[in-house]
Amino acid sequence: MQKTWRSSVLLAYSLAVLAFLYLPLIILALYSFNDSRINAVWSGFTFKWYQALFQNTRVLEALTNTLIIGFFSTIISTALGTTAAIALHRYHYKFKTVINGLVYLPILIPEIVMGLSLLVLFSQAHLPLGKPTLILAHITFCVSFVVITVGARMEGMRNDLEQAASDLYATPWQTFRYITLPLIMPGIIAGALIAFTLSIDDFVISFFVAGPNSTTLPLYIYAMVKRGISPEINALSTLMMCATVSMVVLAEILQPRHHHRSQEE
Amino acid sequence: MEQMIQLEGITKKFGANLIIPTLNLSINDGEFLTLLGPSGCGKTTLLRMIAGLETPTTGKIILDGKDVTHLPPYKRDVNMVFQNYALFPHMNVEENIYFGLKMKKVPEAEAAERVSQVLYLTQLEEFRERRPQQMSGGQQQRVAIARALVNNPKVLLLDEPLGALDYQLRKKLQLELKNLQRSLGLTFIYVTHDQEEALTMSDRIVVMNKGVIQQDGHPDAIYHQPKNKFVAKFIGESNFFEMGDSVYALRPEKLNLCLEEDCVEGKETQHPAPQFFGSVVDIVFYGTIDKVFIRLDNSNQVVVAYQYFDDVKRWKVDDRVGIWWYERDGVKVEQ
Repeated sequence: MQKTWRSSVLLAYSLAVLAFLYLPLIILALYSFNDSRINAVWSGFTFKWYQALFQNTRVLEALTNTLIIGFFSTIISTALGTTAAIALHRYHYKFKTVINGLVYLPILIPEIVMGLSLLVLFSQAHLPLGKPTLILAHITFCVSFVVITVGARMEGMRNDLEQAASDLYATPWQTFRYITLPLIMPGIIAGALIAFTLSIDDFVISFFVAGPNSTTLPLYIYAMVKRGISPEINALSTLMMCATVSMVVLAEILQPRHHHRSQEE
Repeated sequence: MEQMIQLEGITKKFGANLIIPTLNLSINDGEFLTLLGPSGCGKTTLLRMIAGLETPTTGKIILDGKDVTHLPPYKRDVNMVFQNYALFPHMNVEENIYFGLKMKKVPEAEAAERVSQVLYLTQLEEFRERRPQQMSGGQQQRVAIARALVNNPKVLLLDEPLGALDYQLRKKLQLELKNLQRSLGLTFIYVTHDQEEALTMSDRIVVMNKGVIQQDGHPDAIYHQPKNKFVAKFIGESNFFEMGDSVYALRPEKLNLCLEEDCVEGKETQHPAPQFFGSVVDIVFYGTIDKVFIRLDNSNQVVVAYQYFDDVKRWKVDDRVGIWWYERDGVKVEQ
């Protein structure tokens, strides 16, 4: 009997934790379908906030900006991060741990410090703030995540596969093209998805380095909130949440945490 | 016989570690040569240098009359079967086998022909479409061999290819591999630490220890005329008897026992007089034989003799025995 008692307490506890984590999001999503302008009262189901959203040119403009910035920072940070991860895995050199640490550091540095330092850098370099500076800023924090996901994939790959390819007449380039790249591809895609997610969600750093005509969705939401919370924000936030969650799930699917070890025994 | 590989004055250092001091070896065309030794003896390093995966610190590697010392692996006409097979997990069996031919740009028709031949040879036809992960260890092993063989290499290098398999399967594949090698007339260089495997499969065994060749010869010679204590101990079981300044190695099956009272000095016997006396300390039943352990008098040395005694006569612990052998069975070994 004690066992059932214990497991029901555990279940209740788990539910409480889940509620704590997800209740705010659920409420936000629910009120995006609320017919009333006031968030506190439920007065019926509607899609009108979503419709309003898609007729709002400023929202659409922010969405376009977000997607453009997300696209370029994802492409560039994925390319940079992948090559960095391969180099970090393959070569042995002095201060390897230090350099590895430096790669991960941008994840740990407070965003506000990152944003401020980037702003200082850009103004020192006389770079006008706008989409290019946003893309550069996003690349700096996305690269680290790509290095981590691709690096994990490289770790999981046995190095005798590349040797076997080389033994089977593949030049170094062919080995990379036909063996290394396909095997680390799930890591690359996962890294790219995480990078894209981080880029479209980023607020703090973007806040510092955005310029005229480069308002992203998070920045736009913030501006809207300053003028009072409307259900439109709820609708926009819900959509962003859905996009983020689906991408994280996709990244998770593509990055299996336990490899097939059967071969290695 | 024509020489396929010559290793001339090979040395290999990893950092400050000298793995292989100067080594010379030539390997004949069509030979099944086994590099045998304990782990860390440099046998795998030697194999990897022939494959091109390591470069010798000094010395030359000649393959079929051509100096290949500094050629990268993808420009050498040798292929390797890796210890854990190293099959490409994102390709099926057929694609794995095709890989070398594709890289070499062998014409499509010929490539298809060669792939189906080798699939037939290794009995893998029904597994064409399988991924390596979906196959048993023995099947994966066959794929690894097929993937190497399909390229018609001048030499096939095998790095403990059966090491990961269970005993029964290993026995079976040993025979298959030997037959394959014989029927194709291919040069095999086989690395193993399993002396039994080496003895049953090889035309020639090179026993290595600490990067140095201890003995190089026919399996029969390696077993029956070990040159030194290391070889005698590493291959099979051996007893060592010091007689004067020399050390003699004797296989346990060559030792004969007699009850001390029947063969003490002065007693008439049908066989040579025993050189040593001792007491039985242990007897272990091994089915076809009893392993009898005897502590020699005046020393702490324990020797082992294999006895094929029937149920009528068996040794007991504490029996006093004389140990004798025929002179031809004692092998004088270097220390």
